This record gives sequence, C-alpha cells and structure tokens, in this order.
Amino acid sequence: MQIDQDSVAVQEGLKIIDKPETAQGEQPDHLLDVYGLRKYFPIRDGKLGRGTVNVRAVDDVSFSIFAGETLGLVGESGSGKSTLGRLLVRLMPETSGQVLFEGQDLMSLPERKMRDMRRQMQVVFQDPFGSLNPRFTIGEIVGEPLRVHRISRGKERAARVSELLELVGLDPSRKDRYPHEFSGGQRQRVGIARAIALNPKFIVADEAVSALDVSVQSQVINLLMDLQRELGLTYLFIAHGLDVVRHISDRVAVMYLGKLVEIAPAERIFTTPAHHYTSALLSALPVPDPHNNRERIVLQGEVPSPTNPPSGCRFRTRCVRAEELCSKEEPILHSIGENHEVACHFPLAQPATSEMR
Amino acid sequence: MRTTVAGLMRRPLAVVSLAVLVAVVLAAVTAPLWAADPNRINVAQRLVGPSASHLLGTDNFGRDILSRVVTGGRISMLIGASVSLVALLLGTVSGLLAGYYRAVDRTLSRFLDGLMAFPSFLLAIALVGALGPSVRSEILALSIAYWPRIMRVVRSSTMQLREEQYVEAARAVGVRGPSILLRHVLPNAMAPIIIQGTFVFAEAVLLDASLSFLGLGVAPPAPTWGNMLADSRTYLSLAPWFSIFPGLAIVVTVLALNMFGDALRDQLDPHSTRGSVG
Repeated sequence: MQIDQDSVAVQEGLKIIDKPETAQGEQPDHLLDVYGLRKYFPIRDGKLGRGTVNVRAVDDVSFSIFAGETLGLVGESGSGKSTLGRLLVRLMPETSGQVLFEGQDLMSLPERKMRDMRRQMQVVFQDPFGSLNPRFTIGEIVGEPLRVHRISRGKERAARVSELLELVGLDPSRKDRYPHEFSGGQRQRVGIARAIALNPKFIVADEAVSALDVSVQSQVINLLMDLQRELGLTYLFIAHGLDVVRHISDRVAVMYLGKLVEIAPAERIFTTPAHHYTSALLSALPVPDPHNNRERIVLQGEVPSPTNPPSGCRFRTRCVRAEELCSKEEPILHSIGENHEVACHFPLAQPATSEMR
Repeated sequence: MRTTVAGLMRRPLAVVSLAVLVAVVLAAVTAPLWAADPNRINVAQRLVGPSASHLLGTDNFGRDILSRVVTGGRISMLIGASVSLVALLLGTVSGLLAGYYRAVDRTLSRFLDGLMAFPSFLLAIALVGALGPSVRSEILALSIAYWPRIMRVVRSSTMQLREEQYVEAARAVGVRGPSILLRHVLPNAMAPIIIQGTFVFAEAVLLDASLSFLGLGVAPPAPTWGNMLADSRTYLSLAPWFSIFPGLAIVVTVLALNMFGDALRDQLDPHSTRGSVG
C-alpha cells in the first residue's frame, strides 16, 4: 500500500462498513471494492407514456481495483463502462450496490463527507473540448480544485498551478490563456492537471484519449504513466478498444451490455482470452503484418437492447459457442486461474496449462 | 465581450436602433432641464397644431405635447427598465434553481406554468387592479407577468448546460451546487438572458401604455403615452397630432428595442458565432 499524505482527512469521522462476502482481509491492498453495483435508467414506455422500463446500464457488477495498478475497462458503446466509471466516483446516484474506497462506502456518505472524499478521486473526461469551461482561463481551471478545497491562496496557489502545468508538459506562462487557444492534446493535459491538483489516489480516465488522434494518444498515455509512477496513482482507464488499454493496463476488464464478462491481467487477456466476446474483440484488432492470415471472428447481429437483455448469458445471442444452458442460466464471474475471472459457461482458455486455441 | 460590441457595430440595424434608444433615454432623462411644464394648462391654446412655440402642438387643455411625450417617456422608460430588471432577477434565480435541481423544478415550474396559463396582459390587469394603480404596483404586476417567460428560458439553458462535461468536471472536483450555478452555468447562459431582457423591456413599455390607456396605469394628470392616447381619441379628426406623437413615441421605442434585441440575438447566438470549433 502506498503512503499518502492526505489520508488523514479521509479517515477522520468515517465509519467502517462491513464488507460483504470475501473482501475482508483477503488482499490488503484493495483501493476500491465494488459489490453488486447496479445503475438502471428508467425510461417511459407504452401507451400514453405510462409504465416505465429500465435501461440496465450497469447490472450487478463486482470487482476490485488494487492500489497502484491500472485497470483497463473496455467494451463497446452502450456497454455501461462510462456509467460504471461515473458511479465509482459518485457522479451519479447508484440504483443499488456498494463502492468501497479504502473500506469506506461511498454511496452512503453524506454530501459533505463525499466532497472531502473527492480529493482522493478524480476524473479525466473524454471530451477535451467539452470538459473545460470556455470562459475560464486554464490557470483558473487547474486552480479550481485548490480553490474549492481551500488548499492554498494567492501566490502560493499560482505557484502550485504553474507547477501542475509544468508537470503535465504545458508552458506555465500560458496559464492566462483560454481553452480555445489550445489543441486537443494540450487541453487534455489541462484536464489531467486539474485531476492531479489535489493529489488524488485514484483517477478515472473516462476515454481520456479516445477523442485524440493516434500520435497524440500515445503522448497522453505516456504522460499518464509517468504521473502514475511519480505520484503513485491508481487508474481506472476506460476505453472502447483493447489496443489502447494494452500499453497502460496492468489488468483488463471487459464489459458487455452492463455486465463484466472477463477480468484478467493484461497479458493474459491478450494471449489467452477466456470469454468468446473478448476473443472476438481481440480478433478485430488490426495486425500490421500482411502475411498474417489469422481467422477473424465476426460477430453476427447487433448488441441487444439493454432494456430487455437476453435471458441467461447476455452474449449468447451472438456467441458461436452458445448452448441451451446459456439461455437458462446466467454465468457468473468465476476464477479460472490466477487473477483471471470470466463469466462464461464454456470459457475458451482452460484453467492452468491447457489451451484450447 | 469586446468582440460582441464590435460585432454589433457592424450591424446597421443594431447601430440605428441603439441610436434611437439612446436618444429616447436621453430625452426622457434630461426632460426637466429643457421641456416646459407638462401640466401647465393654457386654455387659450387648446388643440393648437405644431408650431414654433409648441413643436408638437398642444392637447385639449392647452398643455405642450412635446413636454408631455418626453415626460411620459420618463415613466415608460422607468417602468420598462425596472420590469425587465426585476423580471430578469426573478426569472434568472428561479430558472437556475429549477434547471439544476429537479425538486425545485417539480414545484416551482408547475406554479409558473399556472401563471403562464393567463395571458400576460390579463394577468397584469388583474394584478394592477388588486394592488391599486401606482408606478410601484405596475412594476410589480408586469414583473410577475413576465417572470415565467424568462424563467423558462433560463431553465432550459441551465438544463442544457448542466449536462456539459465541464459542469460534471466541476462536480467531480467538489464544487458545490450554488457555486456551479454562479460560476459555470450563469456566465454561459448570459446571452439568452440579456436578449430576453430587451424583449421584456419592449413589451413592458407596450403593456404599460395599454394599461394607462385603459386607465389602470399612472394616474392623471401625470402624462403617460397610454393616457395621452386615451385622451386624444375624442379629438382624432380635429387634432390628429395629439394622437400621432404619443403613438409614434411608443412605436419608435418598442420597435427600436425589438430590433436591438434581434441584432443582439443574432450576434450572441452560439450557432452564428461558434461552430468553427468542434
């Protein structure tokens, strides 16, 4: 567990909540534990707008994030990955479930305690154009967390803002400029500077590089990795493609239709994926080799509606391996090797040695 | 801000309407310095047409129409400005709250929907009738009549801005609700608020004239554009200038305000100014 100067503020006055099931003392360095997290968005349906149905954006998701690691979270649009990221830092209310941050249940914290807690967890947003208020200078944007939490003032704050800008590779002399005077990559650096201003432990990078072009993507990813090393950060790195998370992630989690379908160390995900959806995602990655004639798995059909997901396994409607069992019984996330969990009745990779592919 | 002003100056309609407005306001404000006493009765000089001594003629009591029009303008401008200010204040505060907090929206918006069900003219008549005719009650009545309109505009901008990522980012940083509204939402919603302000100003001037035309506004003998028009009806064929000049004052002022509002909207509208980015 890394040492953090700010932990005093977090710990005071916060009660420890009984963790359900296995979490207790199993692995001491859990930064974040998620249990049965659900987020349903009710939408009107039926005649005259009566009756509601739920969009199950996140449906019974449980996992942990270890201190100091980067957990990559991938899934296609609408899989619920961004919703999950927002729930973890309580940017929206959950439907049910728990998020424990160093043992504290965030969901039950009163608003004021949660605001203190925000010093520990920050977000880097997807849209480098939308995430910065066009009427603030970048100095004001980076300084806002310091202002809100009354951390420093006057010259001291200005010095800290300059330091932060320098840390993310921006010229501090430009801090009185407005966001529209910067490029997408630079704006994303401003967003990162704002996120690290409070010395957080945990950062959700919500598709932080998806809107950038490829050459800038790698710069920003490298910056995030450098900062992680220097500041001892823990990341949840959300992306919609596996290729982006490959470089930065220690572990990778795959989401499909509101469910976590597989979670494993990054190299295992790429070498021996266990879920049929993961392997389909992998086969979609372009390989820069003209002689590579590997077989592409092309998924049939569309992602089913999250208002009315298929019974049993949600992937069964598009899965090549689906059997009757898959429609009857929902596969639960279970371990098939060290740190490798999959929610599939007929996983591809077998535990331990044997490999099916 | 500087670009807004510069942009407005490139629009002929904006320049003309602004010049007219400045002239009207200037005339109204400085009236006591140069205009004759608007209430001085001169029976010998009744219904005299425009002449050198009475540039716009006289009315049925021999009072100077020019000084009555500019003095009436003082009241119209005062009421127009006060109403747009009070209505903007009420509408902005309630609109911000209703747009951001769902609970406020559910109660306050339904109440204002009810208020909106009445035509603003009828509502103003009823309120002035209940409060008694005076400048203050007229300002109050008109402000309440226009409040829901501004509130709706602010509410919809707020609801839109609330979903902006920088607002979410501010929440993630730990900024409180009121601070988000004042620092992040309001400055970005200023344009439609100002534009609505000019339109409410124009309509308040018109509605004020209508109210005093009906005898519900400021009490005679104090001149208002509305009561001058009402008095002049009888003499329309005999002394047309008695009707024409107060009527012209209303038309010119309201038209200038509306034109200026339009120009301002064209200038501030995000679709015409932005769009090169993103």
